[in-house]
Amino acid sequence: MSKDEETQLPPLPEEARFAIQAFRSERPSQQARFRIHAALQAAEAGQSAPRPPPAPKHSGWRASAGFRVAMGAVLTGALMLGVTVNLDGDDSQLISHESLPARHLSVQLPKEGFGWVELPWNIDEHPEGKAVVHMETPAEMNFHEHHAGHLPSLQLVSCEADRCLHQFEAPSGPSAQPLRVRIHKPGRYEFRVSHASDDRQINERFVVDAGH
Amino acid sequence: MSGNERARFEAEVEALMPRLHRFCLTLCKDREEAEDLLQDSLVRAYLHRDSYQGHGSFFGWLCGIVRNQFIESRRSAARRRSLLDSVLEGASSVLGSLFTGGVEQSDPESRACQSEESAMLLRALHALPEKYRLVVLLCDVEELGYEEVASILGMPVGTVKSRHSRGRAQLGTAFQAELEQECAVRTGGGP
Repeated sequence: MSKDEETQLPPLPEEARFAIQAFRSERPSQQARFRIHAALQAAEAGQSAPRPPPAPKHSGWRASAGFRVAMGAVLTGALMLGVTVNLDGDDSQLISHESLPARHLSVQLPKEGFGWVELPWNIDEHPEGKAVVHMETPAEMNFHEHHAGHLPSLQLVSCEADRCLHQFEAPSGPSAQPLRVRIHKPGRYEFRVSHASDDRQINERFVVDAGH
Repeated sequence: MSGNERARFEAEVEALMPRLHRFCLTLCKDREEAEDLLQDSLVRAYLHRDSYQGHGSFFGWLCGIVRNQFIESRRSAARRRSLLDSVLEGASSVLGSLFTGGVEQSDPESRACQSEESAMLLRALHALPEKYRLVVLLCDVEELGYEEVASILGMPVGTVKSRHSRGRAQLGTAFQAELEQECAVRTGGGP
């Protein structure tokens, strides 16, 4: 932009100019850079990216003034979610909620038939037992039809537009297994998964690029 | 061979990363969304790197991918809302603030930025319609010329100039409002 052009523009407040200078120093976090590097490596290798470090747990809620008032609602909400809350007077037993960064995977499909991709979910971070899983998939996959064999408790909750929501139980803790998903044709598939145990809920997102 | 290509791609992107991050921040509401957008876009750019033919700048090509990815993500998010989000958000409303940490969260721009000045600018930018916001970002923050901005945003130079002028005026007003609000908070008055 020339000086002439600059002088024809509406002036900015001096403070705004300082703020623009400050904004120019904004950069992605080191964690984001690491994730990008890992995602590019995964895209290159056609494998899943290394697991990013889990998001920090929220801990400030214990100090919330409305916390005790919310306890009754917690019970109702927990029933809705299919998770339980221990109210034995130990606040540390309440559910923590974590959302992990998106992860990219790629899978090579055979020329005919279908392929399997393993989503490296973090269900092993729950205690040993069962976790309740809500999983959103593209409707075209017919996930509930093709996965009932290895997910016996799988139920189709609802579908809307081109997305479907499913619910099932899966082993958690050390006996947890990667989540296997069957893919029939090339494309870009997005999966959102939320799994909950007694004291923890983890939300994850996976993007899978499938090709021949 | 492929490792070399990836390393070369990363090296080319490295210098542009801060600019691309600010571009994503200007489009998105918070840092997490912006960083997801940047990651998704760079993976897509890497997978389709052969489609960059050298016409226009590499940064402009990447910005185009970021914008397309952003639009797709928004459409996809809008479609998703009634499924998993409705389950989780429905539960969250019953659970009160428990699932979101139980403490009052600061505004997304403050959490996205490293300084209060940056956060105020980002809030002011977010107050602008997108058609002005990106032009102002590229012209005033990134100090790109009108020709390059026109190439990046795929519009005539004359349109860039007029949007820059209007956007700059709106940014000044929005930033002034931010200053007054900040002042009111500091002196104990409400907005």
